[in-house]
Amino acid sequence: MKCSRILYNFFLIALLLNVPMLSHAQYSEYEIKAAYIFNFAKFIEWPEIEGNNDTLILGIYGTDPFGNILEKTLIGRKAQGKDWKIIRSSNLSDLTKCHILFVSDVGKFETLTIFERTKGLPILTLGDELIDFCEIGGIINFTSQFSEHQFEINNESAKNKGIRISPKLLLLAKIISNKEDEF
Amino acid sequence: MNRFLFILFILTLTLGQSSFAQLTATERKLLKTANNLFDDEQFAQALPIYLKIDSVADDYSVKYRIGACYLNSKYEKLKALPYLEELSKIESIEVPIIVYSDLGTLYHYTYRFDEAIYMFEQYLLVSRKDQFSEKKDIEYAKRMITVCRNAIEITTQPFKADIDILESPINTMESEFCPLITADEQVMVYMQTIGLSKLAKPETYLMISFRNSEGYWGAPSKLEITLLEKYKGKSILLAGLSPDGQTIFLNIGQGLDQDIYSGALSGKIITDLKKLNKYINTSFFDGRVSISADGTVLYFVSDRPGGFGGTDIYKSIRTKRGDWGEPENLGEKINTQFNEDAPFIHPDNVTLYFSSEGHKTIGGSDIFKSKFNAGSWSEPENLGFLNSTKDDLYFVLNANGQIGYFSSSKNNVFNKHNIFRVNLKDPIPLTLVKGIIKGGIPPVPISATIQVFDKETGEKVKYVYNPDPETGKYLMIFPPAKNYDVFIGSNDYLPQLINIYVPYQTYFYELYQEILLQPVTLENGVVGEIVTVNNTFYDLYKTIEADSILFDDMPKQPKYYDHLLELIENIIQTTDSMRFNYRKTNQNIEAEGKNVDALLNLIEEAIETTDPITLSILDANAIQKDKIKQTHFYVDGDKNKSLTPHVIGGDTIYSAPTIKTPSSQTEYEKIQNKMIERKDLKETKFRLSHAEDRIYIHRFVVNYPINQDEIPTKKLSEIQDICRLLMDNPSLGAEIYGYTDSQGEEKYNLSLSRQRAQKVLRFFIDHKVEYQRLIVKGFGEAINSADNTDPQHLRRVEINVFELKE
Repeated sequence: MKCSRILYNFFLIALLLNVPMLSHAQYSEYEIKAAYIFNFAKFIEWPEIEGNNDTLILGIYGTDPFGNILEKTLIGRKAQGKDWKIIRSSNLSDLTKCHILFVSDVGKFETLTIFERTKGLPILTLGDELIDFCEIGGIINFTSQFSEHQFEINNESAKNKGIRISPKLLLLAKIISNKEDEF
Repeated sequence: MNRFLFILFILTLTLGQSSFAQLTATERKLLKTANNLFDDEQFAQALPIYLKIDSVADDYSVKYRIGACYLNSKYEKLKALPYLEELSKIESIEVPIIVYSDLGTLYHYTYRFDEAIYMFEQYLLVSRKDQFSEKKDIEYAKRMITVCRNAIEITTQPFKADIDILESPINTMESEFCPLITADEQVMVYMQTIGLSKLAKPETYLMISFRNSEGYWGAPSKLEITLLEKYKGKSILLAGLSPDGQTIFLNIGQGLDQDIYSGALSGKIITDLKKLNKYINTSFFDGRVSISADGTVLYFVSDRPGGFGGTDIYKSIRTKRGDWGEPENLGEKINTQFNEDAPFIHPDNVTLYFSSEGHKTIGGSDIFKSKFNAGSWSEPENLGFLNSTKDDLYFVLNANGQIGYFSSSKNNVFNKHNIFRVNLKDPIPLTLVKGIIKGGIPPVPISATIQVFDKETGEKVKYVYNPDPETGKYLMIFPPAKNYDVFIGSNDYLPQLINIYVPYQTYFYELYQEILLQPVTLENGVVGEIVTVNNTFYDLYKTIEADSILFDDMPKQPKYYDHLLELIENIIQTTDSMRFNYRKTNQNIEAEGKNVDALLNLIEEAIETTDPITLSILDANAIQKDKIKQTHFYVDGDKNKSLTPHVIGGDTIYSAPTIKTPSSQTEYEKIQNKMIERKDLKETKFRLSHAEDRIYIHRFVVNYPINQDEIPTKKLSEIQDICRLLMDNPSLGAEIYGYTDSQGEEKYNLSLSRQRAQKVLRFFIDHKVEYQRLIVKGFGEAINSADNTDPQHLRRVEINVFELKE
């Protein structure tokens, strides 16, 4: 058996619940993450932004681990009736108009710099398995494979920015609160 | 075909005096000219004249001469068939008995094996009464009867492989032959002969083609050889290619005196061409080569004395000094009295493909397969489906044992070869590791050496693992179910030792590895290095199993088997560009589009119904990747103090602390480790640690003016840099120690030293460094040291960054 017992159990449960499982395909990590990003937008409300209400903008800061997967997943599909636009940049001033800002492969120091520079803007910060991302003020963070939850959410940070996250998403996430309270 | 010439002599004896009563004088004259040409062996010129005479006169001798002309032609041998058939039906003493044998040969050529056997038997029958019959012809007929029987058996076996002819730009109107591929099927070299059948001196070129991101062979270009003028007047032919494509072997020589050379292949340029040593190259013919994936065994063809007859296959093992040792004949299991040629040792190191005119051939040279098991080679098996009654010579296979390439002149009247690709549907379990090594910020390919050791035996597997300095790409092929130590050396970085475990698998397993070496810098220098190892696994068996659990109504075999093969093919085609450039081929766009929708809908539905189980299944079923990021800090800022010794196979090797990739753990351990990993870091007790457990990686001193406790502004950026280091590396802590000079009251000085340290602490905390990681102390008056009595030097805060011993 190559499957671990845990996996095996999942499959059994899946059978019992008759979950509509995907045929054949074994998706790659970033294919799945792109699909999450698409769906997050369906369960999140942003405050009105003047001048831009017909596109959803996804910003990729620095390293882009997706290749062209994002284009394949997002472009040509609508979430909340809006088309997607993807902006890739290492310069934060290009990314101030984003709805979602995806951050991958950076240290905590750089992460904090990003938070500092986007303070007060209604940007949903999304970390790619970054350590303590939600604890220091990020809104959503993907967790590593085999974690109990697939993502973490810091709802306080979201609220502060006027972003409303659906309770359905919150239920599926590991909820993190601001660490700064500890000081 | 010399044997056809033999006909001619008998013919002249027996049919020479036939009457041509019905011929006109002009025709007689023509016939005489034709006969003269025929006697001079100018068959091509004689043939049209005979054909003309044949159209007006019905004569055995003319018919036979036409047959003989065709038999001696290069491309029209089969046209002799009706003429010989007609002759064979006449039981006349005037018809030479060799006609039966020749006819048998032609029937065999055209797959009419039953008729061929009959003709050879007929030949044997009459030859007993014929005083002219020669022993070698009798032996030939006997052998051909066996060959035809083999052919009947082999050609009627079910055909399980798909064979496709490669399209343009590889195959052209010219002749392409002898394809050689790298184990990952990304590079192909082959030969092209231009002007066959047209030019008096056809030219042969060595060609190379790279597979593009769409999975097709790109436009080929000619291989270039540096210092080519050294080999002027000699023929240069392809002899072999190492599985990683970095070493190419050539046959260089004149006529039958061929020698084996090896060279480095980089892009389309061959450099460092060297003749192999005297064990390999003799005064006899030394030809085609195949090197094992670990670079330690060389198989080659030679007709040196002491063999079993014809050309034989030999092997040579690399000696401890790195050169080739005395070769050994592969023995009677492989070599026969006939010619053996074109060995190809599969990267699994035990399966040998070769061509032979002996064994159970169905005619000419055939491709055979034999496995080395328990000290001996197995009975060679005829790869029937790709062999023809003509010569089938060069066959190579990719690492997963799936896709092979060969060239054949099948279905080509001019004997021009084309290159074919075959899907064997017969995989060999193996693990292929394709990797890329990069260094620096931003990362660029670096030149490095990679050595791999079998952990159990400590044996070093060498030679083929080094990355290409231009692209940083490397390739390793492992037998499964073993632990390996991968040792990476480079000029600018610490040597690294990485453990990997290659699991046992039934099918093909592929690992894509990315190694990233990057410096950790502070404003005033490098304090350590970050090593990132990214492994991505494809376990095809697991995918199948998962599918079969979820869809129990689907048959497991053979439907899945085909699916598996497709997957392997796709994976091989995509791995090169896997992370950054997914494959876009026309036929896949639609299918991929569907998959994306399915995935999106699945996740949406799971969120809508708050169903965590589906999400977990999706997560667990995702293509596995593991990423390990380890930071090595230099002890006291000294690179060399950071090395630890390892004893491998009797040698001691120094490297940075070993990196255990998650792939060297079981799946249960992996999950456990991931869970404790983060907790561990948070609970590290920096403040409670003993000074002797601290390994200092960086020391920084801030000096103060008299009676000041504010951090001097010019030091702020450097201190901020230390904050960044601490924040990005949770494994680090820092001591902040304050001191004063000895002026003034002792009590006041103690509090001043504390304030200095406190202000630095405040700065750290304002920059979000957790206070649990900082140890703050005021020591009061610092003791004057003998070598530096400057009081400015005493008024200071020391910031000592440290790591804890494990």
